[in-house]
Parts: sequence; C-alpha cells; structure tokens
Amino acid sequence: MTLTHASHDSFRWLAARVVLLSATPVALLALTVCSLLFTAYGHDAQTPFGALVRAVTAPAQSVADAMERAATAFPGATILHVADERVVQATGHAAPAPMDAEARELVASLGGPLTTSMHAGERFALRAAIPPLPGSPAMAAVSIAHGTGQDDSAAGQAIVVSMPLRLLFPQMEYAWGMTIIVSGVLVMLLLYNSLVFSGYVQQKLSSEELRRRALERRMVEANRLSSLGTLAAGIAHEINNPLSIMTQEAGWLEDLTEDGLPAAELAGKVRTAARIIHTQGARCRDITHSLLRLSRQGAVEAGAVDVNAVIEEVGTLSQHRCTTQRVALRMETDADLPPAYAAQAHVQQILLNLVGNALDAMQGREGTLTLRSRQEGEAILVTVADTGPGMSATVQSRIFEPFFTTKPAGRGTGLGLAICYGLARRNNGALGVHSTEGEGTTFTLSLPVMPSDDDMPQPGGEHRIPAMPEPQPRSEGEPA
Amino acid sequence: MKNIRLLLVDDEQDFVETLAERLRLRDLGPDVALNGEAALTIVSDSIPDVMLLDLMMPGIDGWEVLDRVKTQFPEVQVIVVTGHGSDTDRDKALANGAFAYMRKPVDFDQLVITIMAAYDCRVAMESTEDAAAIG
Repeated sequence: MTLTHASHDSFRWLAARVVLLSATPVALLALTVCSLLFTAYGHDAQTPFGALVRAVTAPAQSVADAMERAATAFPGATILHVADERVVQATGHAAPAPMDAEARELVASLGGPLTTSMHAGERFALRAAIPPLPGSPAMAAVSIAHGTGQDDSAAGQAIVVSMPLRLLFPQMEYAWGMTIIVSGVLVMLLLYNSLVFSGYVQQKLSSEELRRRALERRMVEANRLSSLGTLAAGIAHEINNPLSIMTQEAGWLEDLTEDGLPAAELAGKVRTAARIIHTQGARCRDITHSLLRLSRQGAVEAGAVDVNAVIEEVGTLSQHRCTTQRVALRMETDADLPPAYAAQAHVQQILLNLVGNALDAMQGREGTLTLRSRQEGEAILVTVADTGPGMSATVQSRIFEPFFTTKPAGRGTGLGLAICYGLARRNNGALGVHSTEGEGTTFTLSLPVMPSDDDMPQPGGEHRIPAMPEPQPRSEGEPA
Repeated sequence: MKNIRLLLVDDEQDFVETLAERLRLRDLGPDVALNGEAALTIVSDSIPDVMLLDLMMPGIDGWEVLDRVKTQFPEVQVIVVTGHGSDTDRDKALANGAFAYMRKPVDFDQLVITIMAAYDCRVAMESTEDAAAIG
C-alpha cells in the first residue's frame, strides 16, 4: 500500500499501447511475407510476357511489320521503336516521358546489335514491374533484324512493348482491392480491440482504486481513533485528579457550615475553597477543550496550520503519559514560525502517532521527549526526538513499511508510521527518521509553508489536498 | 480509635491538604507527604497504622512505596487511592498487600469507614501477634 495518488487514466493508454505494440511484430512479419510472395509470384507471372513479345515480333520482316504484329497481339500496349538509343516511333497510347527513358535503358541492356550469325529475336530483355501494381507496366525489348538489307551495323534496332499489368492480368485489381479491404478490416479490428481492452483495464483499475481508497480511508480513520483512544485513557485519569479535588472541596465547604467558626475566618476558608474549585475546573476545561479540538472531524481540507498550536495541544494531551512514564516533555517552538499549508487534522494525527511511538520506545526508562519546530527555507520542520534505545539501520530502512512493527504481537498494527508517511506525502510534505542505537530516535516532519496571498493557489486547483480520508464531511452518528 | 496514626501520600497538594483538614475535623489528624521519598522518610521515622497512597507520582511512585513499606513494615495497612481505574491495577495492588483500592474521586464517608476498617484490621493483627508472643 503506498497511499500515494496515481491516476489510472495513464494505465488506459499503457494498456492500449501494449495491445498495439504486441500486434506490431505480427503485422510486420505478415507484411514482409506478403511482399516477398507478391514479388516472386509477380515476377514469375510476367516472364511469359517477354517470351510472347519475342515470339510475336521475331518473324517480322520490317520494323513496321513488327510494330503492327505487336499492336495486334497486345491491344492497349504502347509499342516503341528504338534505334540508336533514341525512340524513333511510338504507337498505341501516348508514352509518358519516363517510359521513354526506361525503354532506352532496357534496349541498352540488350548488349549491342545483332550480328549476322544471330537470328531475329535472339537478344531480348524483360523488365518486370516490381511491385506488381495494376498501373505499372511490364516492358519487353526485342532486337530485330530488318530485312531491308541495309547496313547491319546500324545497331540498336529494337522494338519495346510496354503493357500495364492490369491489361495483362485482368483479375489483378480485384485481388488488390480485396487485399486492401482485408488489411483495413484487420487494422480496424486491432484498434477496436485495443480500445475495448484498455477500457476493460481502466474499469478494473478504477474499481480496484476505489476499493483501495475506501480501505485506506478506513485505515486512516482507525489509526486516528486508536491514537485518540490511547490518549482517552490517560485523559480520563488526568481529569480524575481535579475532579476529586473539587469533590473534596465541596465536602470541606459542607464541613465548614457545621463548624461554628467566626464569620471572618469562615469567609476566608470559603474563598480559598472557591479558588481551588475554580482552578481545578479550569484544568478540566483545558483538557476537554484540547480533546475536542483534536477529535474534530473536519479540517482535512488544506489550509493555514499553526504548527506551534498543534504541538502545544499534542503536548498537553501527552503530558499525563509523560508524567506516568517519568519522561520529561520539552517543547521548543519557534515563535516566528509562519503557518504551514496542510490539513490540520493530518498534522495532529501524525504528531500524535509520533509522540505515541516515542513514548512507547521509552517505556520503562526515564528520558526526554522533545518537540521542536523551525523553518528551513520553504519548509516547516517539526521534529519529535526521544532518548529511547534507538534502532538499527535495518529497522530504520523498513520503519515506514506497512505492517512492519517492532512492538510485541498484539501491541502495534505496524500501520501507524505507514499511515503517517502517507498523510505527510498527501500534504506535499515528507517524513524522515534519524536514529542512533543507544541514543534515541528523531522523526522529522516537513510541511510546505503557507503561500503568501499573491501566489495563493486557486481553490480546487492542484494544490488541494486530495480529500481522500473524507470525500464528504461526515455527519455525526453515521454508522462506521 | 482516637490515636490512629494516619499518613496521606499524594502529589496533588490541594487534594491532600483539604483531605487532611477534613480528617482533622473528625479527629483523625494525619501526616502528609507530597511524594514517595517524603512518605518513606515519614514511615521509617514513625510507623503509621494506616496509609493512604496515590499511585501516580513523580519520582518514587506509589507502586514502589507500597512495595517497600509492605516489605519493611508489613503491619502498615495501605489504602491505595488513585485516579487510575484499571482492574489490573486493582488486582496488582491487592496482590501486593494493599488493604483496599479506591478510585478518585472517593466518597469521603466511604473513605473514613475504610480507614476505620483498616485500623481495626491493624489492631487485630497486633493482638494476634501479642497473643502469639505470650503463647
């Protein structure tokens, strides 16, 4: 249990990313395999086109005849006559400029003119369209002999047939369309699933979070009550003393009426008794007042907290236990201390816990308990120092862990300091410990100084203390 | 009955002084000790018959006083009067030899009766001791 505040919205994005990221390798693998298959298959499928072009043009008697044959065999194709690395003539659909360049390149790759020993069509080349998109053209070049008997060395006579794949393979557009639709559906499914999954995760987390908060609220409340309960026993005893004195004085007054004392002496004695009753009554009042201040439910909203007053109250209420244990209680408060910005109830609860722990630590030995307050920069530091046995580094490192306790079984829950730590953090403060074995332990609570008016946080802004222990003010007598 | 030697031990001065005053009116003039050390000194100077003892005191507390008095002078009857009210304290006090255990605020008449009873007990003890010595 950390008692810290984490938004579970970020978990939603995390969950969505997990789904998308886990799908990414699969998608990449599928893409690679598909493109390899398409390339290999597309290349193989276009090879017969080259052979066909060759077969059609080779028997031609002249360039014009060859072009004529090609145009008949390949309707819709662009047929180019390339000579001396120039496009001499083009038929069919108007050839775009890049096609000319590609045709010339292809012809150049044929490797020189035909020699006399060669027959027509012996040199031919195919440029398959990769990737095999419907619009891209497959191109085949064939060297042709022209039977005009002219100079054979007039090299580079070739016919180039360029045909878009969609005309070669009429089913191709359909196949591509299906591919696009299927992959689109897959992507949409993936996105949808990531949304559904992250929504599920978010819902789970938020219900978990709600349960955790409810539990935490109950724990903080239980701790508050138990620290008050420990005090209550001491306070009842503390009140008993003045009460018995007052009862005694009342009896004394009764006795006086039965005594036949002279009026002046009687008046003096009555006045003394009245004064004593008054003093003792005030003592009771002080105790009940500080107890009332402490048990007040409200004040969990952040505001200006007079730390010295809280120290004073906690000190008053702990006075009895200190006396019982023969522990000297010292309070060294800084009179110029500015108010802290925190929830008063939280500060009280933390200090009560710390003082209670310190007194537990000094059980069975005399010592000094020192409550000190001072300002350090933008922080107000409250230290609770005891002269108890101290603790080892191992214990110190675990002291704020929930359920970690050094008290005997049945005495401590091990939650007190964990709750204090959480409360300190919730008030943008911190709780630290310093201990030397054999010398004592000092807990330091630091709280932010109340901001001055001009940089006062907006109500409901980010500086608000999360109203976790009490989302709404609780009405009296509400069942626990 | 008249010469009960009574000792009040309590750190609450107002309480103990008024109580002494009221007891004096009833011819039970007690000695008063405001802390454990003073109580032990008075006890060793003149052994009281009955002792009213508060448990919660700074310095030597009531438990220690009870323990020492009962060890050294078992004939002293100790009535524990305390603001503490737990049953364990009560059992512990009685086990340690206290004559009675009373909670503050005490009813004055009840207190006087208890003091008398304690004194009777003390006298009875003394007579059995004497009888034993004679016998």
